[in-house]
Amino acid sequence: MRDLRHIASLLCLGLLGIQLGGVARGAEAPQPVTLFESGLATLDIGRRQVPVGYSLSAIGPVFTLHSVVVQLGGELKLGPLYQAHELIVGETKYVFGPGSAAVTVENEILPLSQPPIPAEDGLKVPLDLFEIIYGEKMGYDFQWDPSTRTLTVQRQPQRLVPVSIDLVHLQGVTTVVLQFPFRPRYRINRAANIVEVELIGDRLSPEMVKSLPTDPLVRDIKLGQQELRLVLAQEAEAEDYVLQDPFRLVFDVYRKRPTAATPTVDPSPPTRSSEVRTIVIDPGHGGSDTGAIGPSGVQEKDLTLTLARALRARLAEKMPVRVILTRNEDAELPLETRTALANQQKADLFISLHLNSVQSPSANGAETYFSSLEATDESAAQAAEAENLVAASGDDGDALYDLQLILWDLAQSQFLAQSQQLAKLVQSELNEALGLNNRGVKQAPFRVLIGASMPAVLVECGFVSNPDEEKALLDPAYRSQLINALVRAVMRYRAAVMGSEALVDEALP
Amino acid sequence: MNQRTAGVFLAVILLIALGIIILWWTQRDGPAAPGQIAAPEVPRLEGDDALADFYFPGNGGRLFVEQRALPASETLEERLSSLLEAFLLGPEAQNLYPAFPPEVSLGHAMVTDEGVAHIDLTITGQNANLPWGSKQEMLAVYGLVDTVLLNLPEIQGVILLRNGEQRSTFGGHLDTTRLLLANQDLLAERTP
Repeated sequence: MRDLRHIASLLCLGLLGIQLGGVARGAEAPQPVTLFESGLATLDIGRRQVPVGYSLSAIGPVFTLHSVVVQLGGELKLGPLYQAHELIVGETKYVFGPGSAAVTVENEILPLSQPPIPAEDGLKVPLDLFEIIYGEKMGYDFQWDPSTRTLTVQRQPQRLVPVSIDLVHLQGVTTVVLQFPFRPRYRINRAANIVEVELIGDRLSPEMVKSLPTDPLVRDIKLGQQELRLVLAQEAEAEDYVLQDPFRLVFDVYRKRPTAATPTVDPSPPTRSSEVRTIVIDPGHGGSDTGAIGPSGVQEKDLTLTLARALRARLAEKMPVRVILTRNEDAELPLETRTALANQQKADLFISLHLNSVQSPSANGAETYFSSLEATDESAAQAAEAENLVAASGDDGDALYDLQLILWDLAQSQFLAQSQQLAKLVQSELNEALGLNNRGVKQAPFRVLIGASMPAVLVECGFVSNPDEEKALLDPAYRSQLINALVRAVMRYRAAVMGSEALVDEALP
Repeated sequence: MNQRTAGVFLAVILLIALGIIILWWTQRDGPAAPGQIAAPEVPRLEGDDALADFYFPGNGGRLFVEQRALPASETLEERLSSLLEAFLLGPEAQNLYPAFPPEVSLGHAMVTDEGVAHIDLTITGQNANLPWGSKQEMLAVYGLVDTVLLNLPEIQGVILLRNGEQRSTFGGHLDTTRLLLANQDLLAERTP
C-alpha cells in the first residue's frame, strides 16, 4: 500500500510539475484563493499617481508588490512562482512567499493578515506587508480607499516619544530596558561595540531619562534626538528582544565567550546540506493561545518564549549556526505557518518547545516527540485504510491538502531517522541533566510537526501542571540546566551529522 | 467478661482496624498503578441495558477504563450519542478525571454508510481556547475516540469537529484534519 501511495505521489508530482515545484523543495503549496475582483488601482505618493495591480480576496485587498517596490525603493529578488521572495530595504531583508501568512524579518517572524497571492503580473501582497516594510522601518503610512480604489502613501507625522531607561546587572548579564508608552518606529543598527536604536520619523523625549549606574558591560548610553546608543565594552555583545504592554525594547548584554568554534555566521540562508547551519526554534503557543496554565497561574506561552530566547542565545554562542525564532514576542502564529517558515528559511532543524499538562498534578517528566504520518507498519496500514474510508464516504476534504500531506510524508520520510536520532539525544540529555522522570521518545501526529521538511522534534520540557515542576521551571538556574541539556543534544546531533564527535567534547556547556 | 473473652474481643477490634488501614492504603492513590482500578458501581437502569467501557484520564498520563451500563438504543447513531453524552459528563470514579471541561458538549453525531463517525463538539464560554498541554489533549481526544471505537465495532474511525468545523487541531496540538483511529498506546493495563 505504501508503494502504491508513493507511486501515486510521484505521478501527482509529475502532473503538477511547475505548479508545485516549490513544495518538493519544502515550500508550502498555496491554497487556491477566491478573488472577488481584480484590476488596476491608483498608488498615490504625494504628487505622483501611478497604477498598481490589485485583487480583492475574502480577507482584504492585495497589491502587486513590484509596482510598490519600484516607487518606494528596495531590491526585490523574485523567486520561482511558489518559492520565497526576498526584498531588501536598507540593510533589512524580508522573506515571504505564497501559502505562508508571515514574513521573516532578519531573525524575527511576523504574521500577515493573508498569504501573498501569485498572479500573472507578479506576486500580490496584503497591505500589512507594506506597513511592516515601509511603515515601521521608513515611516510611511498606507491608506486604502476601496471606493476610489486608491492606495495613498504618506510620510507619518513626527511624534515625541518619551523613553525611560533602566539598567540592571545580574549574574554576568546586563539588561537594559527601554520602555515606551507606545511602539515607536525604529530600527537597530550595530557597529563594532555600538548598538544604536534609531527612531524613524519620531523624536525622543530626553526628560524621562534618569542617571544610570556604572556597568562593566555597558560603558555609556548616549541619547540624541532620534537615536539612542549603547556603548558596549569591547568584549561584550548584545541581544535584543521586545516585550509588550507596555512596549519595551530589551537588550541583554553579556561577554562574548571564546569557543573552539567561533561563530562565523553566513548571513545568507544556507543551502541544505549534511551540516546544521540554520535552526528554527518554535516557542509553543502565544497571544490568546496561552497553552497550559500551571497551578500558580504561569502560562506555557511565556515559559516557552523565555526558554526559546535562552536556547537561541546559547546555541549561537556554542556553534556557528543561524538561529531563528518563529515568534519573539507574545503573538499568535498559526501552526502551519511555523513549519512553513522553517521550510522557507531552509532550516536544517526544527525544534518546537512546549510544556505539558494533565489534570493529575502528580504527572512529571519530559518527553520528546517526532512525527510521522506512518509511525509503524501497523499504523501505516491503519492510515491507508482510513484514507480509503474517507475517500469512500465522499469526504475527501481538500484535495490539495491531501496532496500536501502525501508530499510531506515523502519528504519527511527521509528525515524520520534523523528526527528520531535528535529526539533520543534530547530525551537522554534532559534525563541526565535534570534527573527527570524519563517519559521517553514518542511519536504523535502533532500538527506543528506536519509539513516540516527537515528533522523536526517537539520537546515537552516538563509538566507545568505539576506544582514542583512548575516551581522548578520558574527558577533561572533550573532553566539554565534545561537549556544546556538541549544545547548538548543539538551539538551531539550536529557532530554526528558532520561525523566529528570531537566537536562536541571540546565545547559542551 | 473473663480474661479469655477480653482477649478475643481485643483481637477482633485489632483485625477490624487492620482491615480499615489496608482498605485505606489500597485506595488512597486511586488508579495510579495499572490493574488496581476498582470497577465503579454499575448504575441500575431499567430495560435491556448494555455495558460500555469509557476511557478517562487518570494518574500518570494514561487512560483508565470505567465500565457503566447504558440504556439500550434502537439505532447506531442513538447509541453513539448516548455514549458520547455519558462520556462528556465525566467519570463516576473519584480518582479519574473528565476528559473535556464542562463547557464542551455534544453538538451532533452521525455515522456514514462507510462507518465513519462525524462527531461535532460544541464549546462555549471562556474556555474556547482550551488551556491544554499536549498530553491532556491526547487523553481527551483519544479518550473519546477509543470510547467510541472500542465500544461500537461498526464504526471504523472518527472525524472530530469543533463548533461545526473540522479544524487543524482541537486544542492546539494534535492534527484533527484526518480520520482518527483508536490509540491503545495510551491505555493503562486493565484489571485482569
